[in-house]
Amino acid sequence: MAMVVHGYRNWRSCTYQVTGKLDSRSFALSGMKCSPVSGELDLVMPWLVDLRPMLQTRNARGAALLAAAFVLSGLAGWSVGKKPSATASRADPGLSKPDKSERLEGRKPATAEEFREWVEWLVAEGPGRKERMESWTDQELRSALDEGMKDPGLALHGPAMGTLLLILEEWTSRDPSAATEWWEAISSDVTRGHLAVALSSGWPKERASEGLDFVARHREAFLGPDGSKCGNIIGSVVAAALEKGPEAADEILVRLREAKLPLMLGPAGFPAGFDFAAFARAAEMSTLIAENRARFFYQAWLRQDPERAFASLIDDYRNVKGDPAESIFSGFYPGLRVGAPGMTENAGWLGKKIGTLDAEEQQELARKGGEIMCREPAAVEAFVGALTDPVAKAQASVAAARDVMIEDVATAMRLLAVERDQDARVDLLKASLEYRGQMAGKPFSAEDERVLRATLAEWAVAHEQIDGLVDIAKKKGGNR
Amino acid sequence: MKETWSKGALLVIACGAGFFLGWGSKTLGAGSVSGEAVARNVSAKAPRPQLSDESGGETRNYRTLRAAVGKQLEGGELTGVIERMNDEELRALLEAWEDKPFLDLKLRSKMGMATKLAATELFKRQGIPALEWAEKSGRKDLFSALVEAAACREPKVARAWFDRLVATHGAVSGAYVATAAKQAARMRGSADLLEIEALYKSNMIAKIPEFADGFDHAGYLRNSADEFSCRATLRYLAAADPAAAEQLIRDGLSGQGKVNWSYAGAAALEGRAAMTSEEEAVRWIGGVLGEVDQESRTPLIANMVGRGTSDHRVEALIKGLPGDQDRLELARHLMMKLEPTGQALTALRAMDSDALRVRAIEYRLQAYDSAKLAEPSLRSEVGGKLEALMENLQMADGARQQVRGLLPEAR
Repeated sequence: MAMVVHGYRNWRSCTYQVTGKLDSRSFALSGMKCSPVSGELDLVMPWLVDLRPMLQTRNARGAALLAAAFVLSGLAGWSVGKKPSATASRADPGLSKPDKSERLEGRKPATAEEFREWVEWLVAEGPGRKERMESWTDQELRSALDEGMKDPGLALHGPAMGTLLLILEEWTSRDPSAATEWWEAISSDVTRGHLAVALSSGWPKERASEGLDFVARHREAFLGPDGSKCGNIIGSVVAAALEKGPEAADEILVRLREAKLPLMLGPAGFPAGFDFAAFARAAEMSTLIAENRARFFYQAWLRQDPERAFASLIDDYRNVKGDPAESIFSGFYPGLRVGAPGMTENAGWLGKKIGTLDAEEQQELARKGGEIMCREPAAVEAFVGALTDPVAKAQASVAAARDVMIEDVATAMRLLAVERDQDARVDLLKASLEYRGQMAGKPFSAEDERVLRATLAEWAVAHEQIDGLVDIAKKKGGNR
Repeated sequence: MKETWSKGALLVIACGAGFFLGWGSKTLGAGSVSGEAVARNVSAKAPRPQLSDESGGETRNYRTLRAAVGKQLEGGELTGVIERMNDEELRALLEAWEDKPFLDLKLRSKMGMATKLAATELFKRQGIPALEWAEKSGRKDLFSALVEAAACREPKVARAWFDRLVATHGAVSGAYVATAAKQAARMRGSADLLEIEALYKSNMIAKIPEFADGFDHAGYLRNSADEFSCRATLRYLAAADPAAAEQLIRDGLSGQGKVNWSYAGAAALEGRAAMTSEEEAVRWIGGVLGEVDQESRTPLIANMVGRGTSDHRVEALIKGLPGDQDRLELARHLMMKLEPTGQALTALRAMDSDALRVRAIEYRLQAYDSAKLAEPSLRSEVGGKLEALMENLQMADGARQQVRGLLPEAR
């Protein structure tokens, strides 16, 4: 006889398994198991109850009494038991930090916000590859890899490749020497190259330096035409060096250059309190700065100490005079990305800083700023509003208008209005409309036409010229 | 006394077990009033995280894991949760999510998958009203998601909505929908795919992760006019069944089929190379080309290399192509810019003699108008590049003289 009760309570799913053996003389309730999903509580209630004395009794009254007690207790239990209620589950404070099994099993987020929160949790803490593969033996991993290498699906990079990556990553995390030996023996350059990423992601962090040497010996596979696949190994090496300080970090930069490997930061990035100023003065790092290859450095510095970082950026810009998109604004990119939280504030802060420079420098930087922030009109306005030189303000507005025009005719017209010279303004408008036609923007709507005509009438543009500009706006092009 | 205690203990156990099972059967086994997920039996809802468990109990091998990975790619744990949401919750989920480039990539990917599943579920339940709701929202992403869901499930019904999407939000949105509709059809079979290709035309390169079981690759390749899909299909077939791929390439290059086989044939080399060494893959394609006339196979040779082609592939091709004319064609293609380094250098270096290198350079120079090449500036430029190339190749003096002699006298 086998009896299975599988249940669920308050976001928690448990499997209760009661397995019985029944022969003519004996019954054994051999086990009761509560196994929540993640296996953290594999055997909460290990019972082994021997009921033989009970069933061996030949006293019918006793047996009947026990059976009645069992049934009545069951009824009592049933009446006491509660179903999970919506109120209880939604008010579950565990939403903020629940047990992993609670989150994964039987979860029904009630709102879109909860759903997203749940997905964020899945991404951050859901069962990872390691967790999914840890029960496999080395032999099973090896056999599965060999079997997978015969799968023609490898040619399409779908589930076949995903599966092999999962297995190889796990094996690498356990035994990088054996895994790399297997990997090196793969006859196909193409598949070997695709699988390289699993070596990097599985490589034990404490052996990252050794991993870097391995990557350097197999550059063609790790840095093939399909992109770099050594981010985890290099990131671990760099993170360890950054923890030690600027001197060790500079040594790693040298090592990477000599091995012809790219610089990649791990997810940890720069540690809190890192001495950026000292790193900026170090030999290898200062070369990167001079060559406008220090975006990673300034981004991190601006996050930790914006005032000093900006002052250093301006100094470097004055010395190098490169493209400000690769220096001044590059450091701000994460904060200036379209829709990024705080983009408007960041743009205003940057405008205020640039507004302290002389007029010539402001003008040099304004146009680039406008172009970079163009997809977020509020950010452009915050940036422009904080500049102090009127010419720089106009340049930033006009530079942004061309791209704003792709999606938002009304705002673009407002930005173009900053240009005081009527002929120049109409020329800029014409160029913006032509640019819009080349891009895959929204179709030019009746409302767009109304706004365009009304604004041009305000600018006192001749009717014929307005018709001509509307025709340009309606002309299809690009990917449309 | 002992017996009394024993009986008492048994009574307590019986009461306890009865109570517990009674409580459990209601609390744990019964359905939830609020619709929360309730697993009623083990097979319907096994503990989740072990991927191997999802696809085959305790069996841990490549096949079961691959099936589980496939399920993950289709939505994994999101699927069940979304299926249990009510219509209002699905709409709220679709309305609330806006993809932004600054967000975490994994979150974007997972939420992208979730919105596709939500759109599919909503369309499955509501049909046209779901499309109307999405269209009214004015949101491109939302309308696209619903039209895509419809095109995957009911492609003929969705066709008119596809046109409305394109008219409102542009052709790029339509191309994504068409690509998804084709992939859904691909998972139904070759006949469906051919039908949908005629219904939804797009030129977007699509990732093609899977085919339906029993998909008729050869039949499809003989009848499809979708260039990109055919390339991927032949790439797969060359990995799965090289003999069938060989026959198709031969037939294709001799004029059968509806696509340009010089591209599809080149993709076949990619597929074969995923399964074996570069040398073996080139030997295979070389064997196929050896049976096709030179005029038909020449365009395919040029398509076998691109900017991302490895040096190893270039070397293998030069050594493994069936004839010298093939080597000359490949080298000419790689020497277009007459660069003294890179793929041109690799190709010439892989040739087995200076005599062949001289012929390759001569063949490349034939692409110039001889009168123009005689102009001092161009002659000087080309001559300089050739000198650098010959130096890098360490060609013998005699061969270098021969190459210099190929250049016309300066005017």
